[in-house]
Amino acid sequence: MNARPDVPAPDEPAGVTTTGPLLEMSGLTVRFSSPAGEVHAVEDVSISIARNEAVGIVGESGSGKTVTCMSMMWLLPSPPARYVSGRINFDGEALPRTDERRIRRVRGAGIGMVFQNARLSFDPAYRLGSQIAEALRVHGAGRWGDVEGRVLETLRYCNIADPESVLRQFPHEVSGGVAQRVSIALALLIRPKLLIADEPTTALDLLSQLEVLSLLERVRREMSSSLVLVSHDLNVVRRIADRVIIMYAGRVVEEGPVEDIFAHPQHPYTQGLLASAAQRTERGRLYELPGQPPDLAALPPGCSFRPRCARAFARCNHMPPLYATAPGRHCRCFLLDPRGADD
Amino acid sequence: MTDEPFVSFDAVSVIYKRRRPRVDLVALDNLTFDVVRGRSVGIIGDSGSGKSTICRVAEGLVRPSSGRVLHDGTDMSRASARMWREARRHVALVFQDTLGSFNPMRPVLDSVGMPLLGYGDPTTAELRDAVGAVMEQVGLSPSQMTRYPHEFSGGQIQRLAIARALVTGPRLVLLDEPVSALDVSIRAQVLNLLSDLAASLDLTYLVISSDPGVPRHLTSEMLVLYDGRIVERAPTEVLFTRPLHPYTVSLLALHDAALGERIGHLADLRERDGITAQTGLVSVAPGHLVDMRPFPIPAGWSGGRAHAGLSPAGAGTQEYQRIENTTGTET
Repeated sequence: MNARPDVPAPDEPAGVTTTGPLLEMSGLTVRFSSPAGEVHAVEDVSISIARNEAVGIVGESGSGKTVTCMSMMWLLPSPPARYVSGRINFDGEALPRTDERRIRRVRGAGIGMVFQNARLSFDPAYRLGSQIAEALRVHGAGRWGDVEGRVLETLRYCNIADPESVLRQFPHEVSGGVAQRVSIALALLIRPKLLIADEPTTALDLLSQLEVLSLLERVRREMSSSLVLVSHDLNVVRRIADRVIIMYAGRVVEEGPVEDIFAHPQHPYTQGLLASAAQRTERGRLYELPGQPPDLAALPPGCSFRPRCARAFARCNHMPPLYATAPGRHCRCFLLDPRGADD
Repeated sequence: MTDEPFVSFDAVSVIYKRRRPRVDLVALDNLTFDVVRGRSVGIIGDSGSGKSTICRVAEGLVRPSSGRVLHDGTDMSRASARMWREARRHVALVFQDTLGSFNPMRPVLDSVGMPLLGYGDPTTAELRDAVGAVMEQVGLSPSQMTRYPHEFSGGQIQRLAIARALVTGPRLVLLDEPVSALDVSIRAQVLNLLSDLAASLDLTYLVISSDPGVPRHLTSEMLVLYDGRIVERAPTEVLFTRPLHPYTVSLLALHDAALGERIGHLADLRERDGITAQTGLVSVAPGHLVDMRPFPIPAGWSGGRAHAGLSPAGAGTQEYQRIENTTGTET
């Protein structure tokens, strides 16, 4: 193996380490129009991600978790998405939605993304190697001859046994697990400060899930980048994240350190979700969360979880704010009102 | 009816011939098991382990390359299409992609009632009665039968699929990933429904899933499938409390982080006399069989580690081989 060519990573203007959060999203509201009415996909979501932190975003389908993380680098085309409000600060600088040039620079170099179906995120008509080369060229990493060694090394790092032959293959010729690992490798080659992984294990069989999870964990440990992991699977999030954000019907309903949330969930939805996921039984029957997931085009007034909540009371006809309930913990429920629930 | 098993697999292998590469694909490798009345069976394994092929073979959609499939004790190897049709009346199937199995252009009445058209010539009124009855059984209002598939939520579509399976009055229902397409908060609703139906309609299930939690509350026995063969088989609660095969342990650990380091349980085998690295399944306890062949564990596999962090690659392999050596020297 030839020595690793010393290619400077594109985004290491040495010495410029800012303190404060790496990414700060405030007041994001995203809507879509549909024949059934306006879909309130994300309502007033504020998320802050610290340097070196792994944050899990948990929610069921329609909770707004994917729209939220796609918006972290303004990835949703508008229209159809309608950004009603929302500001993003990345790495200490404002990232306005209209600043195309800066957004392009941040995508990939600053924020990398791994999608649920990795195979679909590659162009089926080109070999994997040429797609990696193109991405590296766009981000100014240099010509293929200069970076080839680093590419092979990174692929091996991602548990790809025979990277030379994978580079010659087309996306349809590799398994889903390999495609996912190639896309993680690609994200790593550009060395983003923040890696967003949207349901990275959902489309995979269990063996590949384990491989991808252990790889993500290793990436975070060794590359000291921040990680946002979006998943509906609480076990996956628990395994990797430091902090977890629970979303329901487009809003953050609870957030806090991962072990705190799992040990003492505060929001009735989180409690129900954990009980369902853990398959808790009562007299031989599984605990079940009643009702249906909400229709985002016709949300009930007040708390969106109210129709499914066993503990709802009169006050829940209004939308509760996100109360700070303990250090680092927030919960959107009147039961957690520090001034008393029956106000 | 007789006491014969509803469905028996007797040394069933399914081999698909492939042109490129010119290596035959062994989908099922010498599989033997019975499903008897009232004792539902769960089969867990990864994609590609042959789970769905089992369904197809049981329904006669795929013929075994060798071995026999028996329905009620009758060898179906040379069964006619008519015999299969009669057998399918008692063995219904709930598919994985449920929305895709409903005709989007027709009201759900047509799709749910469709299986009845294979048996006799029901009138429209008879169809509506039968469909209304099964819709009630699965917790839907019969008045919804004239609606179209897109008007139902994911959980309701799954209920409709179950209703369609029940419409011919089966005794055995094959459930292929019955809840994997559903949200976490909806899964328990459907699993409880299935468990209620098993009791009220005297149904037996063959539950196939890549998520071990799905068959857990529906079955009395579990088979773990890897690469077309059974690597472990045990009563359901035994499998969850005392899994032995490294593959089973890893499947369960991913499903339930709290399971901890169960891989050590294989060490228990050392205490048993006479176990060497034999080929095939070895009985370790009543009804509990484990495949003792060396098992290749892919790199990056965590073994039974909980969420606190993943163990280095290959830890499980070492444990398994160490046990093999010790059992070898002890005997």
